[in-house]
Amino acid sequence: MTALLQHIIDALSVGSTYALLALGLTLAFSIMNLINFGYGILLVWGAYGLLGLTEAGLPFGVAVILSVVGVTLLTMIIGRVAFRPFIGAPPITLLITSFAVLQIVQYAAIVAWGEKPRIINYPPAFTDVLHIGALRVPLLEIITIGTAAVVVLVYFVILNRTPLGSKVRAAAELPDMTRLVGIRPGTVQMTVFAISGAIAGVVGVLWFAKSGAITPRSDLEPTLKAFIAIVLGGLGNTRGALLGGFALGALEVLMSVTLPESVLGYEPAIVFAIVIAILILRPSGIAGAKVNPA
Amino acid sequence: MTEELLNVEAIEAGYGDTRVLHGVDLHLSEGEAIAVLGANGAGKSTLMMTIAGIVPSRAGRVSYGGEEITATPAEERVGLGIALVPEGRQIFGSLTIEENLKIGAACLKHRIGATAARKQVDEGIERAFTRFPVLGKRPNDSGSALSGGQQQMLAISRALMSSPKLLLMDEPCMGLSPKLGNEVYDILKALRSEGQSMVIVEESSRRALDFVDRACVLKVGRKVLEAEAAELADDENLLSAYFGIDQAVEQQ
Ligand SMILES: Nc1ncnc2c1ncn2[C@@H]1O[C@H](COP(=O)(O)OP(=O)(O)OP(=O)(O)O)[C@@H](O)[C@H]1O
Ligand SMILES: [Mg+2]
Repeated sequence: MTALLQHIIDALSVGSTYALLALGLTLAFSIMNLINFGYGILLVWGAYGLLGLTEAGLPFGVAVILSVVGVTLLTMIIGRVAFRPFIGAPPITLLITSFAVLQIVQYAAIVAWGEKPRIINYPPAFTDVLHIGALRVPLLEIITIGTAAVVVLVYFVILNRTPLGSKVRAAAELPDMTRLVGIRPGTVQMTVFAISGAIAGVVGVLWFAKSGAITPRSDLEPTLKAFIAIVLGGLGNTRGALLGGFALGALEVLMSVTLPESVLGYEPAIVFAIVIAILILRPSGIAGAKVNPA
Repeated sequence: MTEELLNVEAIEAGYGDTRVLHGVDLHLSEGEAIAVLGANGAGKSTLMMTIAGIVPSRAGRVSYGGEEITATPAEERVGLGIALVPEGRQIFGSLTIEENLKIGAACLKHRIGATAARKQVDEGIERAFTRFPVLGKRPNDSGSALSGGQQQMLAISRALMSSPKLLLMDEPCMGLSPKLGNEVYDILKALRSEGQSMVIVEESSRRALDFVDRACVLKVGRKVLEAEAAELADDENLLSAYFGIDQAVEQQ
């Protein structure tokens, strides 16, 4: 019983980060058809920002806020400079652009921070373990789940309860009609880059608390996980993305618990096999719905 | 001499490699209403979308209120006073009725400032709900929950939220029962009596001729006829000659 509870908390915590990543990515897709392979590198830059700021002696909380703001701005700048000129082009053009962006931003990280793995000095709250009876819960898992809940809540409030949010929903549904009522596509696009960037910033803080060392190439894993979650959930659909993220988290925990040691190394292959199987059975993902950012 | 409101000159437009409009002229004075008639695929919607700025014009010019707007993007034209009620209504299904109305006034903040805009939005919503009580009864229902007739009422109301000088109506009765179609026309007539300038697109409707000043006929992207509405209404032969088969079908 305790073991089960433990696994559920693990799965929720792992799933939370995947779900948030999938949320940020799928929003950009639902508005701009942007499949962004440069999403993970934003987390990396956020983490380097956090590293630099804490090493400079800033209090951890302040450093977190500044790094999230920094990633948000970086995402908006990339969006404005690199992606906006290609919006409306076929999705493949944007996808290739995102590879180019990834290269540039990644090399910038190599130049700025070197390739040697670096470690952020997280405060004890991120490393302590809570003992509840026989249950051992890392505080980081609770922070992760709690943060994800808040981010998702804020996301839905912004999208469903603010004028800016209704513009974003309108643009995802009927882009031409949205222009016809006088809404500039640029406004909507920048809003989306900001939201998507802020999510990447938040996830970056959590991600490297769990995974430890940062290198300029640490972006691959979060990007891959986000894409698997999105594919599972159905591209462009928020609820699906969240569901896909948690499903992937559960799947990973399930495998780590049930698979024998000798097979564990093949975990990624098994995950991809399952993804392919699901896509064959349900081509539009497990949620199986159409594009819907809220 | 009345003020010129809209002047479309020798406009050419299309999609990708297909050219749809081959040099179309359209002139409208302030307070006037004109019907654009034509068969399926004649290019009527394309013409409306070109005037509204969604479909770019490849040649020719569009001016509005004396200013050239050929290169003005769609999102700025509504701020100038051009509002389109598009074919198929294009209601935002994921937005509520009230949000659909509010978004129709999105250009106001920029044009008249936030405070004045908020006031005008409230007034606009009230006017819409007075005009269409059925919408006011359930302002928080999503647009996708509405029937075709209700969506058309909402689409008209949404367009009116920006207090347009020029209202473009693309086949407002499409998919509606004759009874609902008549209701839509009653509303349009009421707007006309308030002096609303209007371009109305219909495939081949007598109803439109009743309340517009002039009408023109598009045929495969060219204007083949333009006359006073009364003249056309009197001369059925002239009209059916241009409509050919469509009109014949309607008369059966
Ligand atoms: N988005 C589009 N992409 C490509 N071709 C289009 C597009 N929209 C319309 N067309 C083509 O342009 C031509 C004119 O279409 P348009 O919709 O303007 O005609 P219409 O007069 O409004 O017809 P209807 O009475 O059916 O509404 C048609 O041949 C149509 O197939
Ligand atoms: Mg049409």
